[in-house]
Amino acid sequence: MKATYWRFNLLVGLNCFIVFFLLVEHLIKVPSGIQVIGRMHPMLLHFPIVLLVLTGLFVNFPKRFQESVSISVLIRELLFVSALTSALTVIMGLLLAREGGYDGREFQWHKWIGVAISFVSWGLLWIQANQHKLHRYFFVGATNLCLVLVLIAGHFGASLTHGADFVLSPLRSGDAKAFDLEHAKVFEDAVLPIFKAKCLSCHNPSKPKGDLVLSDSASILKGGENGPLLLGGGTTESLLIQRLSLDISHEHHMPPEGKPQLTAEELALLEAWVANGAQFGLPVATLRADDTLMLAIQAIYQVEEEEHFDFPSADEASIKKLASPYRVIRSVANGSPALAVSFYGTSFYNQQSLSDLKPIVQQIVTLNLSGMPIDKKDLEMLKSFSNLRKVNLNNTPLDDEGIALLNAVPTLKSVSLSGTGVTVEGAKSLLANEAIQKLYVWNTAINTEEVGQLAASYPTKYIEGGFVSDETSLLPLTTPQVTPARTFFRDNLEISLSHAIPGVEIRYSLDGSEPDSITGTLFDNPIVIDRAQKLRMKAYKKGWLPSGIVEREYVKSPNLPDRMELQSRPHYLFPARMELSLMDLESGGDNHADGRWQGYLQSSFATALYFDKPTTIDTLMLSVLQNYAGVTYMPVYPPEHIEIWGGKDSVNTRLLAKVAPDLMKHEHLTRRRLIHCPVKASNVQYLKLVAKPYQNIPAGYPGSGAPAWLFVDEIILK
Amino acid sequence: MEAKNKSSMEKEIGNAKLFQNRRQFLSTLSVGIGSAALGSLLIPKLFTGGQQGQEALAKAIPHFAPKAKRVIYLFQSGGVSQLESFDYKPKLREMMGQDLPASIQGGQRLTGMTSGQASFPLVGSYYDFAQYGQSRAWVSDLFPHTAKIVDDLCIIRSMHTDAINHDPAITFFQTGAQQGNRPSMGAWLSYGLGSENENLPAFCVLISKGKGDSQGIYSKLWTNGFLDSVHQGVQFMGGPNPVLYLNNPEGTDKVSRRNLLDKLGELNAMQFEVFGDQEITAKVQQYEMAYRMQTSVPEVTDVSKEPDHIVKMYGPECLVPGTYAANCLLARKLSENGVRFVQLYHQGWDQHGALPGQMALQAKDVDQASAALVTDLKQRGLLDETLVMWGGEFGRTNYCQGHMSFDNYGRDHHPRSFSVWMAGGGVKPGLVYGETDEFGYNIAKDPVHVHDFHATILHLLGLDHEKLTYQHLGRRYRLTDVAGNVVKGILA
Repeated sequence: MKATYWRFNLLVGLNCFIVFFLLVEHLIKVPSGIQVIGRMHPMLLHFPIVLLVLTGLFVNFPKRFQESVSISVLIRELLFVSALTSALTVIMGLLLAREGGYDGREFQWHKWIGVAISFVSWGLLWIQANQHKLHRYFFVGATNLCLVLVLIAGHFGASLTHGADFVLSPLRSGDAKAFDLEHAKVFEDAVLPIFKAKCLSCHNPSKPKGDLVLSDSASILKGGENGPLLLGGGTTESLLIQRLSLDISHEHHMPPEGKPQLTAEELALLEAWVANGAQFGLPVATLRADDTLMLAIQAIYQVEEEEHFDFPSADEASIKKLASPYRVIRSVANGSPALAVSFYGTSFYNQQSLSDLKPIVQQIVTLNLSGMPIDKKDLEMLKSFSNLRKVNLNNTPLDDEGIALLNAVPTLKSVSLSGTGVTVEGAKSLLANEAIQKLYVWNTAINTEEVGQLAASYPTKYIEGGFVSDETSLLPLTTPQVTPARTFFRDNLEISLSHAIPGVEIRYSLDGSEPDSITGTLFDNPIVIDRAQKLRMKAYKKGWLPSGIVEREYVKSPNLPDRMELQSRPHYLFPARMELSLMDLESGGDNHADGRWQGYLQSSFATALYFDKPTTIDTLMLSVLQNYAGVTYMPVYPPEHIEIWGGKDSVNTRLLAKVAPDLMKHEHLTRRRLIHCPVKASNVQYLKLVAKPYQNIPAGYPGSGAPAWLFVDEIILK
Repeated sequence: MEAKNKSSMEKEIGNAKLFQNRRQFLSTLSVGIGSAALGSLLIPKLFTGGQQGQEALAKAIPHFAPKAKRVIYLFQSGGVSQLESFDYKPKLREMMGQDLPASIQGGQRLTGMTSGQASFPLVGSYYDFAQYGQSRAWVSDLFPHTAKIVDDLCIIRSMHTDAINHDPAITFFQTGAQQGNRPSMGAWLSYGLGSENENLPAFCVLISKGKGDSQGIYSKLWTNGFLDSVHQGVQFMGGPNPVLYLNNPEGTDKVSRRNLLDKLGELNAMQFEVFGDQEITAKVQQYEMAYRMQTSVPEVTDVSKEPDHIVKMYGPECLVPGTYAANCLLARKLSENGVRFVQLYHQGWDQHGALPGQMALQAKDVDQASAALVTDLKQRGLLDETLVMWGGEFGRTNYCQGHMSFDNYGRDHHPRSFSVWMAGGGVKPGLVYGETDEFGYNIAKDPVHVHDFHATILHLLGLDHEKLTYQHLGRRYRLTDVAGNVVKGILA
């Protein structure tokens, strides 16, 4: 009873575990130790099969065992089945081996031990049947010997199917060699892994299909039954590349259809390797960065600057303690012990900022001190950064004296010194360090020729001098800024001119003349404008071409009606501020959608102006937008005609003026235009303005035939 | 080590997952606490705060140092014409005015703006092209500064997209979907990689406007979508206050602001205890970041310490806030200060008409500053780790839209093929990738879809686009949704 309980418990536990496993399968990460157990599955699976078959035997033929339920009978039956299946297995195995491709020590052991098992199990059955004649220990010993043989044969069999080391490989992958640019060899670290992954399962010393073995350089050079693989050195003569490049359906294509195929990148790498002379000892580090082989290697392996760091990881707690928004500490890659430290915020940098890093100094490989107010002590501190590869010292107060301290960091590969006080002497002493590969010296005392000389003396190193302003070609200045932006005013307007570049002179004129550098008035105090005037201005500075000319036409709008009534409905997209925007003195910009322009399409703009007292109006001006072909489906034209009606009131009116503005040539179009309408009305109390957009744009103009948009902004009365 | 990689923000995201994980865990308890305990040995950090979110993120980050750490995306909004910039098609000039062969057009979708046109007259570039650099890349006369740096660029002439109009196309480029409800690329990167400098937003947005006809740019393009709101883009304005509402109100000093934040933090912590809503923590983090930004933003936006010749490099407009050149200079400064993703938009590339004139103005706006940005990063030793991208949401047709003459014509939207360039950050320099047919209409070789473009960018930043996912509305989402392949041919 006790035994049953124990068995029951075991089964419940195991089955619960299966259920649990199935439920949270997606969360489970199998550690390598457990992986080994998993890989024994193909081995264990044979046991239930055999045992279940046996159970089936007992269940199906109970009569045969009923009277003689003795262990010896059971064992005899089992031995019989075992011996029978062993023998069959050996026969099948021998047949399989005849197909070819199996050879080598492992296969031989597997074969002969398998045969031995067959014979031993047969022998055991015989011993069991004749046990009375022999000592019992002899039988037990022989049985155990047989079990050992099964284990050994099983092991070699598994090695043949899955490759040697299959079971234990997960334990080893942890210390697999990372691709290390400095020490890697092209063949060993880039080519051979491809053979291992895609070819070696059939072309290994134990299973040399086609007499070809790809596991080592000597065998590769020897080639297979069809001859050497690497003739000549060209890719077309190479049997290796030929076979790999054949169409997959071709009989001789390798790897055969159904097996894992080479990727395009892998094939490209093998081609590049063969084209490069298929050298076996070539180190990756001797290849140029733009070499086809190097690029092919990089396409598969992450080699660039990827270094394998074997120092221990820093203590997480101390990293946490040291990290802040102003001193950011990050590992350079997921799972790497190497750290990158960046400083931000000059006002938070102090004497301790760098020296605090002592506990993790060994792990820091890149350091960004860009713009920080570092001093000599900080640089001395760098000596203790025993694994520092890359340092950014741009825009720090560093000079040649500091460089001498940098020289004490022998591991440095890349140094950024842009915007520092370094001179060519400092750069030379730094470049003398063998490890230095990249140096950035833009915006320093080192001039272009000196950068060229340095590059010539160190042809393998990358020296960046950066942008050099070409003093012979002058750039034009930007145009001055005018504030305020509006050009309409009631009484007067105070105008300021400014320029983003310091030291720029702005000269202007108010009489329409060219504001040149001699006659133009130099801007210093705000300009006050109190009548219609044209302001023209230009910016000047030594070493620059003058800016383009900026023109502003200021328009005085002295008269306001007492009331205004917008009688038309603008397009729903462009209502602006309805009647308010018509006399608010704000000017619309070049963009029709800036909220200041009121838009009309296929309907006229109409507004009425009311005056409490009889008023005399000489001229009425309407500001409109013009943009014939800006957006094709939105041609913006001035109105086809403007009608101005006036009189004592809205009933007694007459047509005062009708103006049909001429169309400017497309090439000479200005975006904004003020249309003058001579009204010459005296003593009116009511004015009505109607502007009709083109229903059909005239021929010869962009968008001809289509209706035009009309955009109006400001009405000015004089 | 993994935990250390994560910023506190990412931990919070993971925490939300932890709750869900515990629920799942508890629901499985019924099958036996003993077996669960046994099984849990196989789940790393089940009880110590290892979370599904973090695990998912960790899976997306491979165990090697990424080539690119930061991105600057110079988006040319409106759709730059590839035929006047990087895709040289002399045949179009030869066949000027002749109809686009129907076999080339292939009955593909056109916009409503030209589908009604009676004819589709081919129109060649008004501007001449020449070859530059060792890569002998063709560049038009409109981009003389870009032409000087072609050996640092990887020009892709075979981009294509699914969308044909501005809004869906730009949304597609930014978020990987044409409808605007997904996180923007910068938000994904902020989610996947966290912030490098926690004193600045991981995702910054700068907008400028050219003189050409422009299309709208709206905040949905830099949205965090369903990701935590700490990942959304922050717009920097041109003007005295680059970040709106960042400064303390009148009468508030730094000390009282600090006190206020501390007290507010306590209240929020109490709320969090009750509701467990991650948005509360996100809000507190944003307050804290804004507090730090009060110091860092004035520092980073200050251009007064730039050397004089930086102006000659970027062009004099770089000192005029709000211009493209000023934004490029600011982008460099933000990126140099650890901002993960700087998104620029330059509006005004929608040349349906008056293309030669408008494009000259647009190119003048962006050419010098774009090239200067690449050079500036290079001379500071930052180009290796910064990925710069330049391009619009689609290209423009090889046939004329509307009025046509040699020096005045227009081009409609063309999603089938267009050109973009990339530089730095693990992209092969001096490469011209992909080809279009001789009409510049269809792609002849190595097409690069928007999803491929996204997959490649994520790859360069060390993220697997298939594994960087976020669970939302019952399924996992990716930037590339269910498509995209890394364009191996352009990787250095």
